[in-house]
Amino acid sequence: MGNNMGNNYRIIIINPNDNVGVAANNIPAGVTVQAGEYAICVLDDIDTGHKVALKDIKCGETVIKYGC
Amino acid sequence: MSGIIEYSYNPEKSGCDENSGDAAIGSNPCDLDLCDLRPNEPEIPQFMGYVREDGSVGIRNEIWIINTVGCVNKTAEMLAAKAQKEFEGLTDGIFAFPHPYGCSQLGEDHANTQKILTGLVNHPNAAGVLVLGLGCENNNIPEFKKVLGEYNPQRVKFLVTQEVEDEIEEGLKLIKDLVEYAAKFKRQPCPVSKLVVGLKCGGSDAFSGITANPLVGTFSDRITSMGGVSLLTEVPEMFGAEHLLMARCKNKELFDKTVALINNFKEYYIRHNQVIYENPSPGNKKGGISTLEEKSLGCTQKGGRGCVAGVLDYGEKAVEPGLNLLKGPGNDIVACTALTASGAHMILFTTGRGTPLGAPVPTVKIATNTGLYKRKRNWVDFNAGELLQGVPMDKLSDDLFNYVLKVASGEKTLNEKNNYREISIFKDGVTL
Repeated sequence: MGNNMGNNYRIIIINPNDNVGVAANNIPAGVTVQAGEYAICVLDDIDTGHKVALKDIKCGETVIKYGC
Repeated sequence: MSGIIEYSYNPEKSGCDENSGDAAIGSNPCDLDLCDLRPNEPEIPQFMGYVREDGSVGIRNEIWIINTVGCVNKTAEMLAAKAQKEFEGLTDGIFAFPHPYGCSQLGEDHANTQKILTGLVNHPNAAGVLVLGLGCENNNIPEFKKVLGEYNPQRVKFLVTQEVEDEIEEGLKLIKDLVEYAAKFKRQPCPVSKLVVGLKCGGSDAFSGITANPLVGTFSDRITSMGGVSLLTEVPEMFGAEHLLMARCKNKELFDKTVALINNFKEYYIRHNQVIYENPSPGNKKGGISTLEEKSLGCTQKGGRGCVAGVLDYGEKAVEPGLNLLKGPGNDIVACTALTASGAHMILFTTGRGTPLGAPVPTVKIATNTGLYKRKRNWVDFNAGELLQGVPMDKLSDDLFNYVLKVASGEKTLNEKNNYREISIFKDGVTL
């Protein structure tokens, strides 16, 4: 089942307040994936299960996942 | 660092209000969704269950053989096997649950064994129970009866094997009486508010906290909003996320009990000179879990977002509708047994790597990923991996809820079909 980007890559957002999503498959660098209202272009290779920032997160800033 | 933390109760920050079933909106970002767990359905859904004489409901009509001591494990197993053959088709099955305890234990360790066995004897999935003793054990039948308290003599029979010549013949006679008693019960419509559902994760992987556990969380929210009970245990898996559960307690009393639940378990670790805050393992990190908090947040997703309505001691029966926290370890068999003994009719068990394990009650295995679901067709009942393929959570949540109603109404889970049913009792003490 594909997404609007026309590929099968998927990023899951668990809670609407999260600033990271989770890669549902291995995503190569440079691919753009639709995740909710975001279109994320991944900058690195992302392994399945790992986190992808949904917006800019500064160093030292809190990562929010599961709404917390 | 000792690991024991001082927690302070701040009702303004709490997500839950004692006076309403809903949650007050607090400043904790996690409780934004706590308000309004009211069901959308105009009526409470029903399942077909067995209504017992005390008003409790069972989802199976079985005969259980509960032995007071490990010395008669094999006697119990032999009785169950012979009785299954002799009384085939008359009940939902006759089962024994051997265990090595009931003697050579002291103090709280001995008491824990008695509490768990009591919980099993009183379980509503058992239409009838044969309590099998040896005679000389610490947990002998007269002693056990003191903990068991009141019982229905038609429903619970006792046999001291040392006191009879042929314990198999005598046991089968008693089981025959129990089978006849059990035959009186027929399935009838029961509201879902009567259900007590245990929540468990085991063999977790990176997706447990993403697919299956949040899915189970939606189930927990739904069943509790309808007046049912969900039970969350595995206290060590709460470390790192415990403040969130504390913020969802309805009142200070529950808050204090939750603090005690957490600190008590930490003290247990300390007594055994073990580290409390284990960082995620290399395997966890490779799979995408970066911190202990993330791991525990993933695990506690099973509890949904509802208010904490009760905090139970090991072996304590669940009575309050809503999400209850139950003292118990992460170990799969011990935790499943604890859930059963506290009254869980069935257990929703999420798994990423797979496990065939079954409790005495139907143990629904929910795969976190489709690969596991396809690979272990003999182990896994339900696939939450579909969430990774774009199936919406609402749809899968409905599917799971409907599946639970079917299981409650008699559809067998794989652990039942495989006849994988066992117990394990928590052990913390000397063995004489």
